Amino acid sequence: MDEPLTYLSGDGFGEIMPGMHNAIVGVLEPYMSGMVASTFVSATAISLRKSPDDLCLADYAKLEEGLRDMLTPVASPALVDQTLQQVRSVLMGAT
Amino acid sequence: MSESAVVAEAAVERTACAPSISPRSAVWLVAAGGASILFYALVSAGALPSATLKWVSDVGQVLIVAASATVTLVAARRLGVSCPLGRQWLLVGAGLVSLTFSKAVWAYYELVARQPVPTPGAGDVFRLGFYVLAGAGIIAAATAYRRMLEMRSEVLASLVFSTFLLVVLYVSLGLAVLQNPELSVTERVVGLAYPIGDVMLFIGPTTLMLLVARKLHFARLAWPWIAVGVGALVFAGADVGFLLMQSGGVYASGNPIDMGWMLGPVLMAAGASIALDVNAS
Repeated sequence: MDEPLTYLSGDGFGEIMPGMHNAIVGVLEPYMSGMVASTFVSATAISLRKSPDDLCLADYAKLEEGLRDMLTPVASPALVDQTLQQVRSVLMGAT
Repeated sequence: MSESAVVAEAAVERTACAPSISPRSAVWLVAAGGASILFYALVSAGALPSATLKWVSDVGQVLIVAASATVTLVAARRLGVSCPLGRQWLLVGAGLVSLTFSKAVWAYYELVARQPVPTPGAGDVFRLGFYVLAGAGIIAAATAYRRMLEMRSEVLASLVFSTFLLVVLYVSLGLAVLQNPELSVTERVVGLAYPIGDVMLFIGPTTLMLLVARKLHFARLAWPWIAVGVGALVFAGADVGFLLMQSGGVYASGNPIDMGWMLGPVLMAAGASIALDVNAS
């Protein structure tokens, strides 16, 4: 498993990324509905004492940890890894 | 369109392009479901003599349930029995194996030994094993979503619904079983175990699973369990129909409600096949 922080680093690592919330919800929506996905991202942001629109790439590790924790009981390891990979790809595409 | 909207749209498109339900699942549903419906057509047309009908009914049920068990166990193995999802399907598959043995015992007494099926007997043990194992799989699957969803109202609703059904079944069937002087204590216990098993291990957890699926807006992760839920309800419906007809003394093997005992496992196995599709996408 690649280290998420290695994947997502570089310029703008700590800068607010306005599209991050929507990008993650977009990947997760077909699997768990947009509302559930949005609630997850918002809850993670709140646990980081941020609003969903204030998330930045530096928060990705926390998001990935939560996603893995949430998906592992209901999805195969392959799907969990694939979904996280999709999230990473989308976030990398947005930077 | 903003940059974030473009990124989100691209993500949705990428996931939407992934395969949804494979030809394998569709073929299974059409072939096994079609066989069950064909069986119903044979029964309702009255085209077969009674003895032949009994063979078709008993052997057909054994074969279809055995095939459903095989499909489910293969899916569990491919999902990985070391992961929670694979273990949930392993429990459902083990339940279907137990049901296969129950059907085989029933068929043996009716077709080979040509004597009434003993109650209570080995068939009942395997049948109750099905409720326990498959019910445990459904409960494990439904509660696995607790990290994703707030489920208190769904749990409460399914408990209230199950309790209501238990009361209805007790009044409509339980009292008659308990007060029947022709039944031994063991027969009364077994007679009550079926409706209680249906409600507590099948209908209750299935209701919870379907409510969870609804909360997920029937998204992909819910698809396999919707099939299982519908299958479990069809099976439980056949059970209740059987109990009502048997208490009225009008049930005979080959009755159209037997179709529910085939379609239920077929739908559960379809769920296992769809789980492979969803988790491969």
